[in-house]
Amino acid sequence: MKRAPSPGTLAFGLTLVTLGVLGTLANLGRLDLLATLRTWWPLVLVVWGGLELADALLRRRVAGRGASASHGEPAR
Amino acid sequence: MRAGKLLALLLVLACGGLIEVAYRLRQELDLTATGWRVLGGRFQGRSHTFTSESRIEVPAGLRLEVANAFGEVRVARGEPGAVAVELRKVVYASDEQRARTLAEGVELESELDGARLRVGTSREAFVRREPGVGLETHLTLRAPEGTVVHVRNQHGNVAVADAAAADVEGSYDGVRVERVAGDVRLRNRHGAAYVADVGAALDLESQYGKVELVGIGGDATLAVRHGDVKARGTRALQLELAYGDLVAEQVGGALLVSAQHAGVVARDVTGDARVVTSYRGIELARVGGEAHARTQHGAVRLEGVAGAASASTSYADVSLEDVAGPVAVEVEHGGASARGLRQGGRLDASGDGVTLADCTGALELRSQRGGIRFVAAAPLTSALTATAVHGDVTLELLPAGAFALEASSRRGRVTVALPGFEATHSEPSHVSGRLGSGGPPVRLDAEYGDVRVTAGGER
Repeated sequence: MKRAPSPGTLAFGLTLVTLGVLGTLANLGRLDLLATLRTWWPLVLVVWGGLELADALLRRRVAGRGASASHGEPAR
Repeated sequence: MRAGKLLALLLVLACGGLIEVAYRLRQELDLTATGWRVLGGRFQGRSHTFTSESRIEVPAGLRLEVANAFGEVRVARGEPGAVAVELRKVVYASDEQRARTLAEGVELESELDGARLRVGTSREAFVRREPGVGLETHLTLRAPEGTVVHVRNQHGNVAVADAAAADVEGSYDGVRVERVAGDVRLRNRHGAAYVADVGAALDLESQYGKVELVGIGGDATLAVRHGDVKARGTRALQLELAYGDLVAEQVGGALLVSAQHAGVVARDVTGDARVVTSYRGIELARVGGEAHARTQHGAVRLEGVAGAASASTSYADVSLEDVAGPVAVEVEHGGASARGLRQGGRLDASGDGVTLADCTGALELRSQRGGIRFVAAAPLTSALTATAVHGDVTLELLPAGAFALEASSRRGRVTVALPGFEATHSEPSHVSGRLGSGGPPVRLDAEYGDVRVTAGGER
């Protein structure tokens, strides 16, 4: 079974993609990179935190299912 | 939380901080595409200088009016019959040829209207035409003797010397006015002002810069905010001051100071000295007339006053030395001390004690929370009243002369140990009697402390 990527990996990947897009737009003269980063960088924390929460909830749900399966649920 | 995540979080926060710092730094430097920037109100970057000179024939009794911005203005004495003008243009551009072309677009402008000559540059039109170019225009003028000089300048030093009269308005840099035979009017903001050797009156207003005056021949009227003032060798000096300190020496007339948040030190004032301030102290020394000092949250010291003196303060002490006239002292939350008062007076301190030595004249002393100590240097010749609420009253007197004593203490003891004193009534809390025959009345009262009269004093 394939393992799902961790929230940190996802946040890192998303950050790289975002930085790449912003850098390209800045090179094209479409935006001021420093001003944009200064405004939006705290979103990295928001996205990362959201992914961590989602990951924690998902793990809890998976652990709950596993527990109910091992406590006498009839196998079908 | 795992150490790796914590480290990553710190890294993200550090990157955010770095972005913020870089952004603010860029805002501060204000870098432009042409390679120059404004830093601390001045152009910075690669520049090229171009100078042009011209000579304008003028009649006698000239009134010279100079207007400029972003550059210095210097006016000095020149030859009779003409004004020599040097315009130095500094263009901020990386390419010299482009800078030269741009500099050619800025010209000296002058207009002679009777005995009035206006001098300026076409900088305003240039800046409208080339808004992205950094340009400084420095003017150096040499005018005939007896010229009345008016200067309006922004973002550049102004120096005027050897004029008949001067009217200067400057901002964001220093102003220097020297050797002016007549009146001087000066307005300056965000820069220091120096005025020396003025033959007549001075009218000065300054904000956000220190002020220094040396040798003002007429009355000086100053309004200064957010800057220290130093004055030496002036005539009468009238000053409104806020958020700065004054040091005045050799004031040939009256000194009148109305201040806030300002310390005042004045020495050698030939006339009256009247000072009102707050949150800082007042020190007046060698005053030829009366001295009156009122402050809050600051100490007061008066020394060598020829006339009457008054001092009022709170949360600090008052000290007086060698005052020829009568004094009136009121201190809240502080004490008072005096030496060499010649005509007595009233000293009232609510926060600490009252101490006097070598004082003559009728005295009325009162202390709320401290004691009263009086040390005589000569036999008493005037009435003395001393009242202390929460402290002792102590008199050290010479066993000579004459006085009638009435001393009492409500909660303490009264002790009189003076050779030759004859008590007419004596009990632990009340003594009355006299030394010699005649003499002034001495009334001593203590509420919660003792009263002591002993032999001693200064000889």
